[in-house]
Amino acid sequence: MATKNHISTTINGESKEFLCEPRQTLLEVLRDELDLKGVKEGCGTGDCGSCSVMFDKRLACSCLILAVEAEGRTVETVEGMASGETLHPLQRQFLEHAALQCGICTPGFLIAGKALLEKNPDPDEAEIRLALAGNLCRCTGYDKIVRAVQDAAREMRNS
Amino acid sequence: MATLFLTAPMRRHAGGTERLEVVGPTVREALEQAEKRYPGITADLFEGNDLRAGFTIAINDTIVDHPLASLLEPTSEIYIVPAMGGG
Amino acid sequence: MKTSEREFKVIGTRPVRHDGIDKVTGRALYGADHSLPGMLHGRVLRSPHAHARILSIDTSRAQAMPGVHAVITGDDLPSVPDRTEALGEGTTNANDLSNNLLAKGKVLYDGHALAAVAATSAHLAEEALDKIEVQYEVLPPVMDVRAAVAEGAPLLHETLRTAGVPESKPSNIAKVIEFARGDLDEGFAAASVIVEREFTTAMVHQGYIEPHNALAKVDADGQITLWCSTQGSFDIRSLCAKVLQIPLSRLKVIPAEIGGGFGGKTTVYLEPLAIRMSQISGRPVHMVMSRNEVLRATGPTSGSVIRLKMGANAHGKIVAADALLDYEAGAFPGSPVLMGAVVIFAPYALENFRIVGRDIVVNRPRTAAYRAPGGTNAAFASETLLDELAEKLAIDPIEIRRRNATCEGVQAPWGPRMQKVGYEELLDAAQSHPHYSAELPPPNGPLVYGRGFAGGGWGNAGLQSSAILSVNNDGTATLVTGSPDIGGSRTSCAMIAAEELGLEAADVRPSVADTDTIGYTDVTGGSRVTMATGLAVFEAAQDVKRQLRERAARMWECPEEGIVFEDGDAIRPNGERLSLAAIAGKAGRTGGPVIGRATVNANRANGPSFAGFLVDVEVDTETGKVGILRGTVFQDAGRAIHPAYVEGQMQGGSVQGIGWGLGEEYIYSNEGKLENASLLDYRIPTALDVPLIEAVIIECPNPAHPLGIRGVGEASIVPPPAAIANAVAAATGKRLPVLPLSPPRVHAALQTGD
Repeated sequence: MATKNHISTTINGESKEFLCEPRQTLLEVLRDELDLKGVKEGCGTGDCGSCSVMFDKRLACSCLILAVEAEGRTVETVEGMASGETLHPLQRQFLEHAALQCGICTPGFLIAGKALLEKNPDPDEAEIRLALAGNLCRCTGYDKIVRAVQDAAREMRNS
Repeated sequence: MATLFLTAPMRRHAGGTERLEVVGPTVREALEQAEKRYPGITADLFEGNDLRAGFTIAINDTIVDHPLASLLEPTSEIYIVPAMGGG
Repeated sequence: MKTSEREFKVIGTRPVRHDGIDKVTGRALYGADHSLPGMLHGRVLRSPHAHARILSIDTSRAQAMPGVHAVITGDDLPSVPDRTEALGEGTTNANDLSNNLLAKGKVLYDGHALAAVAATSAHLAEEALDKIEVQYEVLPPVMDVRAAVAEGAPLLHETLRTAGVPESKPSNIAKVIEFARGDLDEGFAAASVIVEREFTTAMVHQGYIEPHNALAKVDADGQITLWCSTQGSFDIRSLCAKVLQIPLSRLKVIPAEIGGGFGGKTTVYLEPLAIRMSQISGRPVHMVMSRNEVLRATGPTSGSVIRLKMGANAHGKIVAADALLDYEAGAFPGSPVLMGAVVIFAPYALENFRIVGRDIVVNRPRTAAYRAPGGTNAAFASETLLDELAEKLAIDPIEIRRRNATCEGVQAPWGPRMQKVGYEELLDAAQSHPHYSAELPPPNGPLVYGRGFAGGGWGNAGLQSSAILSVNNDGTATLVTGSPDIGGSRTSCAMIAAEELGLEAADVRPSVADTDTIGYTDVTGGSRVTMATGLAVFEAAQDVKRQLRERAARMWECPEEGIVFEDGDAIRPNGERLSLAAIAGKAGRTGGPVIGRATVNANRANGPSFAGFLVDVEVDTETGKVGILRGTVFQDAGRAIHPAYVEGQMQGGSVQGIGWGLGEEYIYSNEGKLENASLLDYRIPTALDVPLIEAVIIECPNPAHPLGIRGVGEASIVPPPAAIANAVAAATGKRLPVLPLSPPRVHAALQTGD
């Protein structure tokens, strides 16, 4: 067994530390060491987006990031989106629009939507679709997801 | 007389006829009559005493709960249908 | 059974789903999220060859590794009967299933499992796989139906003879089925126009985002607990019990939340292996598949070759149809060719037809169900030719379908008379929809535009469901069913209970229970949950209402006669009312807990759901790329319990159909290795590939169901490939009878004069 590295990072605004082997991905560590299971492994090769996180404020696939790279960086996952009992507008709109069926891709889409709206608070449909193109959903056909993001954007602009 | 509609394989045993007149009182008896008239015609339908898995019986427009025991009316049309599946 | 004309308070509304908050906060536990202390990690060794005899497997070096606690091969599974029996969702041959789980004698596809290892870490398990030595005698692979039926083709199974053909010799044709009626020659003789084509469709995968998983724990007394993402915990229990030859009572299956199934998670791959290795090691065993394994070694649906000839008279009425459907079964018999044969003309009334279907084994993964299994392939053929007949006869494409539409009293191609169905209503809705008459853009350089329509349908698997509805002391209720929730069905079921008891949807707490906690319930699939489990819930609610009337009588100290339960109250003849909450509060003093229960076999409540897809495409004649500009899906839901979830099924199925039509296919090398076993190269639609899809719900209530419900889960995947092909034909003048309509194919077709 390889020697483990000691990593200090910030996850959802909180300082966190963990031990990991160099070969472990951020996805593995989030799930298995830090008990943040919102990130899912759908493909392991960065094609489906269900492991999406914000890594230093950029949308990224955690299956493509080695855990050791998190040293000194910030990571945001779906578990950090709600404030206590108050859901993030994206979370609320996904529920209102029934923008999820099986829900396995939902954490990834919420993070991707958050990353988009933090950069571009007033995206048109084409911009939304482009921003979400790295997240695969097989259940919904994307219609209600796009509408949910549109309404969340509107809600966030008006607040 | 109720009418038993023959599946394509069954018709080969019956010289191409598409349907047979049968009396009940039940579907089982109707099938037994068909077997008596054309030996071998129902061989593929049964597994022991029961309908083979994958088949069921519809009478007129309804799939019946108790295929072989279902009672027949004089106007009943008996159909042997594949069990619907899905994904 | 009459459908009531009542006004609904809850049914037809769109409450937020009960499990919604868990799903948007990452709290919901899917199969891979479960863990147990001390658990081992299992991984599977898979064949690199498409077709080979296994000469030997030596697992000794893997067994010897520290940290490896179990290694199994096909020899570690017991013998099971080699016959087709009622098992799983329909019928299964347990011996074939077992051989698929761990190969015995031969490997039959790239990815076929041969051995499994359980070790203290996943990385260690994978290292142990490398230490298993297998000697193969590689055999020539048979990769498609044309090769499989050719004279002298290598045989996958030396003793396989064709069922349905007496005295057949061994071949790769496992079964032949036939539906026929009338006189084909007479029929074609009456035709003004006849069209005939050969269609080819590719093998495609359900594409669920969540890979398969299983966590098995065997206790010292032999009791087994299994967590897995499944479409049916009782289904999985039956399959595991059969394959491992254990009594059903020894196995408890707990359904985790499931990340998509579409039919692909109604069978077993990892579960029996995890159980077996847990039995051997004495520790829990956790297994997950990689995406590569999912694509190579689970259950895609059949590629096919369909030869179809259709004739119509001058009025557009189909006078004869002759179809031969050749479907890939994969490595073991069991393609959905029978259902394809049922669906191919399902929306239409025909008098003269012959439909022959052949189930053909090839060196590809054993096929499993995929949303309306067999139907999309078949409709691709029939809906294309209908379109061609319309074109040749100068009849509007929707009009020609109306002139042939099935309706009440028509004798269906597969036998029985049709009850009332909504296909005509659906065609009317499509024809009068603004999309149908909207202007298309004019050609613009290399870009051309076209519109296409196709219809299709699917029945309902009926089958068995159970429900338990308990009334709580405060007048709220708890509903327990056994139907894993893939698309919001636990909420639809709660809504039915709420409607019947006069409650709000939020007052009914639904849970999806394990095999110890609820009665037998068949799979979530076959478009059956809202219809069949909903029927069980409806009947359990009637049981509750009966008991509430009894209790009210006791509280009023009057006879029960004349007391009704309506709108949430028991009402006596003199007008006095007692609310559900009031009765529930006193339940302990009037006889004990009020619990309603029902079990149903929903076969007789069946009612087909028809669908249609209207699509505008843009074809780039320089690159062959087909873009979807606009899509509208129509479907008969009978009665939409939760319209947003019905829309969701319609839109989801449509987009899967778009993927099937435009880009998805299994690409094998000549040696039979799968070359595109990743989500990069197995191309499912992204958000950029589709527009918003309007969903138009038709409600022609199902006369056989007390609430008029028709199952909607599947039919929407049937029309899109044909609709897209019809649109491409309208845009380019070229009929492409091959799926997918990928850019290289479209481009090549536009180049030739063909």
